Amino acid sequence: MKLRKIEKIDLTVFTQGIHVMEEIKAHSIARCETMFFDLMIKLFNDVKSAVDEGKPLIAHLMSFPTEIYTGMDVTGIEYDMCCGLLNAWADYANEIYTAAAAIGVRPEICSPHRASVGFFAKGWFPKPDALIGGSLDQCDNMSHNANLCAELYDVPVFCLNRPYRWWSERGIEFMVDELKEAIAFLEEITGKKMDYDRLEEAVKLTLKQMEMSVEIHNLAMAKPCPVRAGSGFLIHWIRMAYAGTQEGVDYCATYLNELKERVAEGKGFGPKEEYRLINLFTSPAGQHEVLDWLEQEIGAVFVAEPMYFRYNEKELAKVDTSKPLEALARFFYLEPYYQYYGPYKEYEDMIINDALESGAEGAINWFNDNCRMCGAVSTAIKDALSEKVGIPTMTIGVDLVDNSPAVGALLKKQLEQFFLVLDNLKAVA
Amino acid sequence: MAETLEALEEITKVNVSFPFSDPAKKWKEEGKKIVGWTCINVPEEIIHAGGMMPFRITGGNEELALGRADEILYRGSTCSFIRTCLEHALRGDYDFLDCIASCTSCEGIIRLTEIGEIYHNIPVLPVLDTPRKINEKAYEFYHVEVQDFKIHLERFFDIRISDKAIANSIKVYNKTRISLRKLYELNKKDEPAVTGSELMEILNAAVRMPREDYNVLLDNLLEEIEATGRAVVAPIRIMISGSTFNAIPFIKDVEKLGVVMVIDDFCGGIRYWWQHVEEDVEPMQALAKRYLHVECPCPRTNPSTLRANRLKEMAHEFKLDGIISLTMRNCAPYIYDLPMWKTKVEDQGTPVLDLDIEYGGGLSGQIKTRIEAFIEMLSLEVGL
Repeated sequence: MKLRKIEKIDLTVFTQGIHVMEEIKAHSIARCETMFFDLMIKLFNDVKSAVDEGKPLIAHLMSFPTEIYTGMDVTGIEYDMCCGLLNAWADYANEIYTAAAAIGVRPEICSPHRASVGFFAKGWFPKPDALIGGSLDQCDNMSHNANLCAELYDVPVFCLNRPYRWWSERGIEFMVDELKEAIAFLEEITGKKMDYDRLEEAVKLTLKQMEMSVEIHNLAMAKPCPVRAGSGFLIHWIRMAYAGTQEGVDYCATYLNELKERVAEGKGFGPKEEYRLINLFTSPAGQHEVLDWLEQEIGAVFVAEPMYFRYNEKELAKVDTSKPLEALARFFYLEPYYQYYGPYKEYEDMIINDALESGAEGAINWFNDNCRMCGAVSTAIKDALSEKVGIPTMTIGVDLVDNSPAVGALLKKQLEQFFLVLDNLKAVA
Repeated sequence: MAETLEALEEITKVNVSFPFSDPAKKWKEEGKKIVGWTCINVPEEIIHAGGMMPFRITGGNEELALGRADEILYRGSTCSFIRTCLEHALRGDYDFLDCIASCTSCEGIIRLTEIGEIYHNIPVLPVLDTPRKINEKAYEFYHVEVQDFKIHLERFFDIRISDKAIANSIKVYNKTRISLRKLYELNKKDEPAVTGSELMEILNAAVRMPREDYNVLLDNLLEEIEATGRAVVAPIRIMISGSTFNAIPFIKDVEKLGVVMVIDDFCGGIRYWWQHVEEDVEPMQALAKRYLHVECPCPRTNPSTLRANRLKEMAHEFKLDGIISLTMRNCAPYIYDLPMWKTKVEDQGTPVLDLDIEYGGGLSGQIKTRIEAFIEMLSLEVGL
């Protein structure tokens, strides 16, 4: 096991990813699915153009605010998401996990982060000018993965350190300083200056995305449920990749309008609606077939996906876009997905409130296998939902990017048992 | 075989009864309080200054059968150290603690603290928010955290902790650091003063008894070593590196294979005591700076070059023939950190054996075979 600098970059797999997305897009049912793939393909093409034209390119881990790229007119991409999705859709598991293992990254590391190391170790990811990691302090991967990938590619790395506590003014101040430091780092690396007016505009666009997400959150509870199975995952990734852009706003508007139309028409996506559920984490990206089966055959719908949609309206109203760095710092705390990475009680409150408001009959917690943050809270959240809401939880540890049919079949078996439990509860009631 | 040291036997007695050590029992019988702490980012001096005994929460010398902790924390993704600590707490083994002090050092420690609190009955103080990145801003941030920690302790126990008391506690704890440094310096000699398993006894006792008493034991030990000129034959000098590791039998069994662990790289070892608290700086500021461990960092720390450089220096200073690296399953900081230093240390000429272990596990099976092979290779290299 030796860690050596990667000399040769080969973008064949990255480019293939674009074709793979084109193929998946052709099977889209909802408009929000088609548009998701259009935007992802655009992102990949932008990255390729930056490489081809010698323009600055930055790669970051989840939660680095992409508004900063907009403000600096720099191309940036979230590399853990990108590598994880490529693996989920096209399955390079054997090669990339072997490459990661060869430099010492164990299988206990969650698959998206192992995939990232594998892509870099193979030289399959475009060479960025710098890497940014560490955005979500509590995830050990977040704070270290970029160090390893930067070492492989011999590029500078910056760690953006987010504090643990939500809503503390001191936490906001600390985050503002961190963002200033990140901007100074990027200015030095790219030779570009931050345009703060442009950043302010970007922040306004993100705020719009979040405000629309509040509407989406409320509409999702309609009967029949107007949300396409698995699409919460899509809007989440678009917000991660396109925060601070008009494309991101347009995506949210498309998503929202599609929901409004369906609510007005009283239409869901499936033929029946048997089980109204709350989704506690990320549904498996590699198992679309299972999600379709839930929706089309079982009649299970997700009326609440708090980690994707439950933005705190009151706190959103407090965001002052004229102070863009402070606004970005607040976004770190407003993003419901990041609640997993802060105090557990905050996360639990969010889930409990959403379960109560949505009237969900049961919860599905598919947490990413090997995610230490998720695994360790799964029993606690199950107990809390049982005691405080009175609903059962199906806890499924699944590799989020594993697309094998065997895993799909196993998931279906587990889920079927859960629906029997729900049937029994209904019968008793 | 080196001669027996009386002072060492005294220290060893502290670890016999686990976790409720005899000194801790005596302390409680006197009506005094004990604060359990989970990780080396918690400033013990503040607890000590409040008149309480700081006590580290760990597992013992043997692998514990895990039951409820596995259910609660999910064994597939939480490291066995964290699950072991929780299992002890759930069994009531740590009921002698009046409260728990913790921090946000890694995912495991965070969840042990947050989720553990729901299922065991030991009160938990608000956690110290410990930055990952070490720089001036992190020091400033942690300064406030350390101040808040003092306030939380004062509120919980309804006491006042004076600056003078903290300054005094810093002196007491620095004395430990000075003594341990002397001991480790002796291990730089061709014939070290103590074996690795003895070192581990000494280090385990540090966090399970009143500090003033411990300092006396350490003084006695150093005096006895000097008086007897104690020297251990160490044909092959190794470091054992890992995240959290305190199982004495494992080290003893490794050393039986013909090596001596002259230095460790554990969070209960060098990372625990290495860095001094500056005494000419405002105490809380000094504590904040010290407890981010810049001089001997944890694998959680950014930038990771700090640790790689430190390990290279240690390999040189302690004339290491090899390093055994123990990666506890699911310890993500260590998993990511290992490739960052391993190649650099190997390129400097020190071979590294990379093994996966579970917390508290013994030397057996494949692990034993691989260590034997590694030691055989080292024997050839040193010309034995």
